[in-house]
Amino acid sequence: MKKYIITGLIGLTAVFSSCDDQLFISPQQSIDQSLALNSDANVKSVLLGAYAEMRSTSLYGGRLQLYSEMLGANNEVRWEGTFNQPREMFNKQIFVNNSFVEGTWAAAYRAINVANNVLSALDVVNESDRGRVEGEALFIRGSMYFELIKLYAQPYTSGNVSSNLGVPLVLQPTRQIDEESFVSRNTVEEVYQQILNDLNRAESLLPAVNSFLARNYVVSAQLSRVYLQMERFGDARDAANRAINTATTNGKSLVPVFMNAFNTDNDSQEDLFTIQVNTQDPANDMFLFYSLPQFGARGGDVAILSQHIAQYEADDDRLDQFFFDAGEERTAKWRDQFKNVKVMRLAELYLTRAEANLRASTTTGATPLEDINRVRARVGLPALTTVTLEQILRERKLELAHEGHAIHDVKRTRGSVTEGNTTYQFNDPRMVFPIPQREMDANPNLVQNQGYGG
Amino acid sequence: MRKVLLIILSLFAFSFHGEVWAQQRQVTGTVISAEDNLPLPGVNIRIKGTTRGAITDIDGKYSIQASENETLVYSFVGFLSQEAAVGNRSSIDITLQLDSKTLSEVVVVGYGSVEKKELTGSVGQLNAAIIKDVPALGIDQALQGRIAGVQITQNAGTPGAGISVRVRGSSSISASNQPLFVIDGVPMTTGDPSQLGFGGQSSNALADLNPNDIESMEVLKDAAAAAIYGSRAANGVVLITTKRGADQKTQVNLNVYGGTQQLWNEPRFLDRDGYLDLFKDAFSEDFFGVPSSEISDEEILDFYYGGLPYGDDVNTNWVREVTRSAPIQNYELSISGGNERTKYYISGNYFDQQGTVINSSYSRMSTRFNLDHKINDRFEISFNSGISRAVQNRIVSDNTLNGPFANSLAASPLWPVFEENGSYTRPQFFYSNPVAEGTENDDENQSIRIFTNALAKYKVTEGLNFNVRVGADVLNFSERRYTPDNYPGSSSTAEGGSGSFSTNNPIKWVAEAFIDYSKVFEGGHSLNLVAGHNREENLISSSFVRGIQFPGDRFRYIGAAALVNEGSNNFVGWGLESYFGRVNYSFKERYLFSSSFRADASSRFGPNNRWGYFPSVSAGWRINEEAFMSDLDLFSDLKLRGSFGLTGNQEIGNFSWRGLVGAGNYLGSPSIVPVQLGNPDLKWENTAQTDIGLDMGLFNGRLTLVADYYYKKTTDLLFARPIPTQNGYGSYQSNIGSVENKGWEFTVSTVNIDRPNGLNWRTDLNLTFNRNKILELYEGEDVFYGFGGNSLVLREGFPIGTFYGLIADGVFATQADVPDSRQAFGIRAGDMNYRDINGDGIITDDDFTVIGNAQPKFFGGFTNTFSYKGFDAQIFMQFSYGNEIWNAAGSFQEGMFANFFDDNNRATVENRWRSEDNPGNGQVPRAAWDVSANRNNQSNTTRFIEDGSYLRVKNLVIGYRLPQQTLERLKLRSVRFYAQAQNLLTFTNYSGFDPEVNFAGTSNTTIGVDFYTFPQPRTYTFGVNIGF
Repeated sequence: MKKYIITGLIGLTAVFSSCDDQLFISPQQSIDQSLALNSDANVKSVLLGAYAEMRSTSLYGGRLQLYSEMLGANNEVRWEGTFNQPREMFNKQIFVNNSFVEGTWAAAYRAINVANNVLSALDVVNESDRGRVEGEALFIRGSMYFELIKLYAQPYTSGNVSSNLGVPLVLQPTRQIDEESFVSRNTVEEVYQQILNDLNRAESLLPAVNSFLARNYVVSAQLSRVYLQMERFGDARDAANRAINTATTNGKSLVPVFMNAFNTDNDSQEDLFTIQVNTQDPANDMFLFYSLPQFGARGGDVAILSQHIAQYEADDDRLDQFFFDAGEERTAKWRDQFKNVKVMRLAELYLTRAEANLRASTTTGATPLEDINRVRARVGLPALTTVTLEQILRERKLELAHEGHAIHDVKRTRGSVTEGNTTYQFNDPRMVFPIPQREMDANPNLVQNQGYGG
Repeated sequence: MRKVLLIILSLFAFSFHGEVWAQQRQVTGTVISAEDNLPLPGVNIRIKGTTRGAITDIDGKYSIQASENETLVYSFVGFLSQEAAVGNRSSIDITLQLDSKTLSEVVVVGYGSVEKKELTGSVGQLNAAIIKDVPALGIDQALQGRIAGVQITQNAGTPGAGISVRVRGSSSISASNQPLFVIDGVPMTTGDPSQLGFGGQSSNALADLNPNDIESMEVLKDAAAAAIYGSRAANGVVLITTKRGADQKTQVNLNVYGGTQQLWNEPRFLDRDGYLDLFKDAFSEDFFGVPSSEISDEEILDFYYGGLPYGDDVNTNWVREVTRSAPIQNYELSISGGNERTKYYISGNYFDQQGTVINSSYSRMSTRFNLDHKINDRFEISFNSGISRAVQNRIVSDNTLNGPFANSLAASPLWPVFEENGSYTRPQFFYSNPVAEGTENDDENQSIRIFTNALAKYKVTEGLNFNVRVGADVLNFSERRYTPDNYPGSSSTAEGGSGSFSTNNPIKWVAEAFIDYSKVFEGGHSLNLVAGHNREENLISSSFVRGIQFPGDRFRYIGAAALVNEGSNNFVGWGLESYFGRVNYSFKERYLFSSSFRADASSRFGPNNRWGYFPSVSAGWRINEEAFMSDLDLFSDLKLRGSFGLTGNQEIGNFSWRGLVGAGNYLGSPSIVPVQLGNPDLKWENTAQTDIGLDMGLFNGRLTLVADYYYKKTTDLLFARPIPTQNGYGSYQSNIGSVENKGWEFTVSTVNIDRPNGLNWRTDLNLTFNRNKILELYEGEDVFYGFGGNSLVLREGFPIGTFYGLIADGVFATQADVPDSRQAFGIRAGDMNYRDINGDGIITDDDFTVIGNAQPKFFGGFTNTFSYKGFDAQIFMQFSYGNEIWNAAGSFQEGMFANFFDDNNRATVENRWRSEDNPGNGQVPRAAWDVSANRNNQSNTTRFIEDGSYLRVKNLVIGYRLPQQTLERLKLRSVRFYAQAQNLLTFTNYSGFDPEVNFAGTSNTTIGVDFYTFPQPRTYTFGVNIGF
């Protein structure tokens, strides 16, 4: 009997002990890296993952736009929130450990890495989709480098583009950490060249219809922004013209009532590119910081000042966006929760074409006057009979106000920003982000921007 | 066991009983144990100076023939002897006190037990009897202050919230610092199972265990004691042994207590007048151009709020509005007993504690069934099971804009709670109504828990046993949140009400087989061996669903939501396979040697480091057993011991070593993204610990001392090594860095007075001096964290919990005091004078420096126990010295309206600078709506660092036991009434609500930070303990 019991007990523990697989418990929510890029479906999923990175609040999900508005506040808006990170931008006194500055850098490079992963695995993509997949990945990579260079480096208009430092160019996916991982900064010119390479190729590869994802006219629009920064007005004009032509042939047009262009659930007929927001993916930091608690946002962190509102003509429909609440004027462009984040609207392209045509003394697509009056007519303003560059820039500023254009237009037009009594010229180092201290610490090959020590 | 043995002895003794002396008379009585107030069978009663004696029976009763001038001596192993003169008494009842020097006490260690005198490791022991009257919700709370080297911080007053337990300091930065809890041999699932955010108010899986089912707790502190638990032992191990039945008549015990709890301290905030005064001061100069005394209440309210529709008699004390006097109650029934072959313990418990902040509560129903059965002479089985259901209502506290307590500290006294029409007001732009937050929201969780295990023991030959244990810990945790939109400022206003439901179900399986062998050889050699194999598997599934747009606040479940906008379901797991063993050898009970070993393979370790090995060695020398000591009567015990060993910490994440690609989505389409770079070398954190200890008993055990010096060095810290994010990843997990803890521990126990049947007084003191220091960080780089991103720092050479910020040298009393370089930035008289550390004339983050730390210089507990006839009393004090607290809410609570914040301020701001002629106390700056040039009166400055030392009368218990005669009339075995006070007195200089505070709950690195934290209450309870 004894023997049986002992044998039984030993047998029992053997049963418990023999299942070796408990040491090989695999994660169920993620997979090993090697599996991710081995099929057409997986690579397309990774591509969508790149969009998922790009829609993060650190990027087009709102903060890229917010940074521009805070840097370019110009006594027209005021940061009133408790968050120090936007406040530092507003004050033009950014600390090297600003977590928003750090987060955006990291997020952009995450998106770039995902795009690089896609680009490294194009050969497993079905041939019929390969061009589109490549084009989308290139659009994402090019756009991310464009956003980085605008914030973390001196503007193109500062000159010395072949010696001024841009951001590091990483064009291969990261598989491991080795010496090559510790990259140095490329020059401003090199980065712009890469952006143009990526976007030009993307434009040629992409179709005009591709749901809310990258389309050829979206890339053209992005290119027009790049060329404006580079003051290549002819190219900017042509890119904007291509974007307008393709977009309008594919059903895009200005929304008749200005305020109906905002707070839309789906893309409006005017939207060229947006970040899709809904109740499932609610992140929209422009809403979060600009709107008010009764709409589900924070405490109304951004106030619109009278100096801004005074710039509109009396009958301007765009004045409808302003409302007084929580002690300050607010803009309703970002009022509602769960609405798409506007990244590019058609109106911008008309203004770009008008400006570029005027500067180049051409009338490609339309005359500057036609384009400007198209935008003015929509908001109930009388048509102009003549137009100057200054008028176009003012129209552009008011049309696109609070949408993330502020500082970038100042920098490319060699303007200035005045806060209180202090004026900052377009190339003031204080309007360039620092390289995050975290990156300086992690990578000895990086050189800090002017004015940030180290 | 003791009792069983003695019953046999007593039967034996009865046979010698029978000599009767004619001139003597019969003396009878009952002997009761002071430990549990239960009758003691087998007590030896001897007439002094004679050989005559008797022994108590199973009910503790005795009878003996004695004459008037004789003295009775009562003795029982483990208890202090007592004498009683017979006199003219015919009935003498005696209560025997526990003997402090009980060297034969048994200490539970991993996979076995040893006699205390043969212990070579460092083990702290807590007997359940010590804590039986304390209204402790969980076992961790009950342990607080009782054991040297064990620092327990309650952090907050939320009933059932997480409690920080640190054994010999914090050894980890990113992995866990909590010890491993093992109940009846099976590791427990611990930590916070909650998925919803509650500020720092976590939930606590340990709370599922009823502390009154515990017989004893042993804390394994050094490597000799803990290393047999290998890769989970670096933070110490707490072994929990539940109560068991005994070979005795059935005993029924009923214990009931109830009481009430209140805030014990309310720092004063400004009332209406003080608040308006501050308002006027802040805005007078810039907006009115007249002195604040010339501004009327109406003017300032018109200016700031455009007028208020409430009467000028409104003066709301919001803290009062959200706090209450809250009941606490506990009912407990246990039945235990058995015979030689079968023993059982059954208990049922209902515990209910309401929180002092409205809408917070915790209640638990639990049962336990422990059974031991001897199948035959060789084969025994034990079965233990505990089942409980706990329901907790938490309030969101600390770092929130939507918590009743936090909002009550910020809310303006100018608003009433309700509008005239009965709806809630909104007493500030940033904060919703505190009463509404407390009343309208549902935040409820339910924890259903099953602990079960069975042990089969087979005696192969004499001294050799084969054991198999299987056990499970099943936790079913679900929580529900509903936030209606029926009050202004509700966080769900825009969503039309929101509701969440989540579950978290960790299941732990353990199976192990081990042998134990013990033999005493001739010549005084004694050997003890244990060796075995263990497997453990953990399966954790969780889910989450969220809905918005509810038809109204009567519909509170997601079924009623118009839109279910979030949902997820996850599964993770981890497993462990281990071999372990220990050998104990002693020679003549004089020279002791022990060595243990464990090998752990964990699914959490990278393939290149799959197995971890954790050895320990220890030795002891019982000097008082030496021949040269035999003449010395001074020492009843004198032992020197030392140990060294390795332990590990494997709380490094379930899949941290893998390179992973995770799932995501973008607008309803699935996507995958790389999320983690792999590190196949990733392994446990490794702790090497040396311990040198001395155990000493003096004056026949009336004074005992246990002293330990330890040095613990933890290396290979889990660290997310920063890499350039240009690679698309921010970091990868690696083993970098090192932390040390070293210190002294003392436990002193004295029997001050022990008059037989008179006054007894005993004192226990434990004292710990721990020094925590970070030795190595990645590339020696500081790690900054906390509010603002740099209010705490991890820095080599400094302890964890180091505060970082500006030194505040008071206020600039006059304009002349302000350096020109700062005047240029608009800084003026009445502004804070921060120290310009780098001497560049301006104040920036570069002037930040170390400004304090949260680690105490020493801490401990001090217990005095008294008994006098039927009365007993215990006073337990707990203290911490030299730790600092940072009130991170300073920039709001004493922010002087900087930055337009109209938060209410502490009354301390009445000492503010008002003019050069009236500079206040020199520490509080002027009221100003805009001091952005001077950093908005920010929080992380020495202005808000305070001494957090305290001495607290944690528990005072007074009890009275009914005398035997009364009991006989009532036909009860024992009745004891008691009254208890918790947190009765607290001596501290800390100006906040409670010095025992941490807003970040059980965080490793954020400690000693107060940020609107829900404070602990003072509790009064009354109870009765009845034995049938």
